[in-house]
Amino acid sequence: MRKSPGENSTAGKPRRGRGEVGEGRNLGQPAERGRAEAGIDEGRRWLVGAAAVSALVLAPGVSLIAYAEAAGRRAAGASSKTRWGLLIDTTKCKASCSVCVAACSSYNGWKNEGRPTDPQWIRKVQVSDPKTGFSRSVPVMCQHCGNAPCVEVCPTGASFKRADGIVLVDRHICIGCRFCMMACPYKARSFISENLTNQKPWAPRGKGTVEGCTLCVPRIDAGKIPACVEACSREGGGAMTFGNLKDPQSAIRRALAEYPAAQLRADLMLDPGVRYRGL
Amino acid sequence: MSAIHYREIEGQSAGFWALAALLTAFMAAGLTAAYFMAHIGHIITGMTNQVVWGMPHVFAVFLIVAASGALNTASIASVFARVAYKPLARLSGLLAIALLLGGLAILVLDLGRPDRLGLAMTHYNFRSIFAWNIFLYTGFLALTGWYLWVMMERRLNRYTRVVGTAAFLWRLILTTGTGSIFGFLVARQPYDEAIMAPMFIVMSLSFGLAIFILVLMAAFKGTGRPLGDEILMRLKNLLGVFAAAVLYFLLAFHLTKLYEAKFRGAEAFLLWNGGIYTFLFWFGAVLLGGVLPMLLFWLPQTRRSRAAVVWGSASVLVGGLALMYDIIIGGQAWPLSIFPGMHVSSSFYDGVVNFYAPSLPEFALGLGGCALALFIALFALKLLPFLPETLADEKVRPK
Amino acid sequence: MRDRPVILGALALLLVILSAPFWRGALAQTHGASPVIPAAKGAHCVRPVAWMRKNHMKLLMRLRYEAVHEGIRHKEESLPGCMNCHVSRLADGKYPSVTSRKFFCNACHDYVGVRIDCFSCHSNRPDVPYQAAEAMSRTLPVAREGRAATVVTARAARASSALSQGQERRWSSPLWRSQ
Repeated sequence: MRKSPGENSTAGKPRRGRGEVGEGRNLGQPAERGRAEAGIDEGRRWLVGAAAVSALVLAPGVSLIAYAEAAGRRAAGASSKTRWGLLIDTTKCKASCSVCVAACSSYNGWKNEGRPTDPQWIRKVQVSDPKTGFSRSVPVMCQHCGNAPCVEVCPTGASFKRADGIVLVDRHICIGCRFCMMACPYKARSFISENLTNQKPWAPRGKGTVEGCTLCVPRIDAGKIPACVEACSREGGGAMTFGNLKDPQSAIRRALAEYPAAQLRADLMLDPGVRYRGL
Repeated sequence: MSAIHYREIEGQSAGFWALAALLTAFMAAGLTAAYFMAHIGHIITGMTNQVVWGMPHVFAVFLIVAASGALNTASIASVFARVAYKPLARLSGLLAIALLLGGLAILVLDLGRPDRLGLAMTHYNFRSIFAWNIFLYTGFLALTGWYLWVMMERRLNRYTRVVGTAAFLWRLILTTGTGSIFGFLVARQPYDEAIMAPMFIVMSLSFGLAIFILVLMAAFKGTGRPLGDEILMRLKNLLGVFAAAVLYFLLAFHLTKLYEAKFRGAEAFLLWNGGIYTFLFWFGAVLLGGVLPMLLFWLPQTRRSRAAVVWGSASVLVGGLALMYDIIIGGQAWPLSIFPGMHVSSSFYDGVVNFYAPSLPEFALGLGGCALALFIALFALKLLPFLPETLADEKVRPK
Repeated sequence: MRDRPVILGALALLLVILSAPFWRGALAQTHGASPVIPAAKGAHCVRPVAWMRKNHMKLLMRLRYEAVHEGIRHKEESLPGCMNCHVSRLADGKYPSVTSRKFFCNACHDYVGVRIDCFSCHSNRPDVPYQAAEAMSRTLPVAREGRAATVVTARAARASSALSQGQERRWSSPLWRSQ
């Protein structure tokens, strides 16, 4: 028979305030009677036990508070009737062209000057088959996976998938552990290693958090298309098609229905929102 | 068997205070490094967008894995009822807590936003193995604290077996979780294997026991208490077995990887032409972490020598650190395979082996965490009776 | 106990230190200082002043969640929307730096000693997201015949090398070029 009730308190009882948690007080009673007679050692041992059970009791309790709060929120705005997708036709992608990169960099305010610590939300990857000589220049960015590994591994839930399929980092909650960067098969995420100034007002970014392609959510929420897609259509090869993957009449759906398009690392079954033609 | 008497260490000698001062210096260096990392940013470290986890994580994961294994001695005593190990159980529990705290301190201070720790403790994504690990670590601290309490409070000694078993099982789950941090990562070829979880358990047994032996010998030498061969040889033999087990798991892991064509590039890198990583694997993990300790522990010339125990345990630790470096950093150095079979290049270091050089702040932070663990152990030994008065042969030999 | 005076003395010192917010506040009242809050533009705020002083953090948290997680963005009830009215340029034409007391949020937050974390990431320049997005599109160059060929090629050639600072100026809206 156990003397201390601490371990039973974790079974889902609502936790209202610190005053109600029974640690310390309940434990103290049996020891109090003995302590009057015993010496200092008794008191010390009691303290060790009380501290241990307190930690065991408190740790799951605070998580239950957060869980209850989150469950109360309703979804609105971005709706799951939409799933934003990107189709990139690599046959129209010239190796010398990187307007998508320039547009993203300019709109979102990041710069890559070649240092290993510099961020890069989208990059052109020169791919070539060593056996056949086939080569392509492929823009690679966050693939906005349906089964995103970065969303699964984030300990705080800062890396999340919005209802409309866009995978984002809530930088208010990100603690900068970089586990999502370990988990991403596409190296889509970057970590900001230094203090930043002059951020774009519509694209806040700061030191100590992780960032990546957002599909230009401020633009999408205003009814526009991502900066890379717009730049490509105006100045590049017109390789990018953006649209709602759940709308059978959208340009991207019709294009995907007509010609096959590949997923990067399709073997991982991540269901990316970005598809590539010509690979 | 005669009753075991535990006594605090006096902690008044010049050696004690010198050690405390040295550890404090290392902790101060670690805190300074953490301060600069938090204020200037990770730009001052060697960690990049390619190698995102560096030296601090090597030390932190090493300490956390060792912490779980350090409890093993107590588990042998309480769960498997080996009476000879009973006097060691308290020190084992203490080391487990101290090492875990040291490892956690490094992890927390290395975060990009360490000021958001409170947020991390209140926002959980339950699908994340990382989040589960946070639960497991704090629960382990509490459970081991409780375990120490029932061991040290005479009236509660009858619960030692129950609580000890709970701590033992929790420890297994915890180390499985730590191994799964890497084992669950489908993205990287050097990881993504289920065997990493039990491999980490065996690594924990090896590293934890090595640290335990060294701390035990140092504590008894420093306080002039007798440490008989009976106990020491048992521990030494056990460590040899664990070191061999680590080698076995490494063999199974790499053989599986080598068998699959898609992993051969990564394996060739790690085992053959990876430069520092290959060197650390064969010379560090295999030779120093396994072969040399086994030779020292079991060759007739050295098997009864105390110096061999010390050097062998130290060798296990060095090999363990090398293995951790290989796993954590070597695993990130090998490029991601976004276009399997293809040759790639980009402005974001695709297709190249990623360069990493540990920096001073990272070493300072990592060593500061180790110093914290030893500091906690040192002062706990002084505050509470963790250490038996004697482990001389005639006292521990069961009658 | 030989150590009793030391322990009690240390405990007393600790109590004094921990209660500092209370007795320091009481002492400070003799100075009579108040925060200097920069004047805002517009007729009135989106909420009454007294309500805002008490609850602005809750409003910001809700708006933050809605914007990031649900994609619900309001024009005025948003951080840039607040700044549109509350953050004005200084005499020299620049916006106040996020660490200076002339910045609206810091005027009170410095006074009460509650550190805010917003502006390590958020810009000090007020902006309305929709308008910014519109302005951005207007400055994107449109491909035209003839001249477009040289323009596109030159641009593409520059773009294909490592990204340099020049490109940011090319894309940024005229509104911000003076920043």
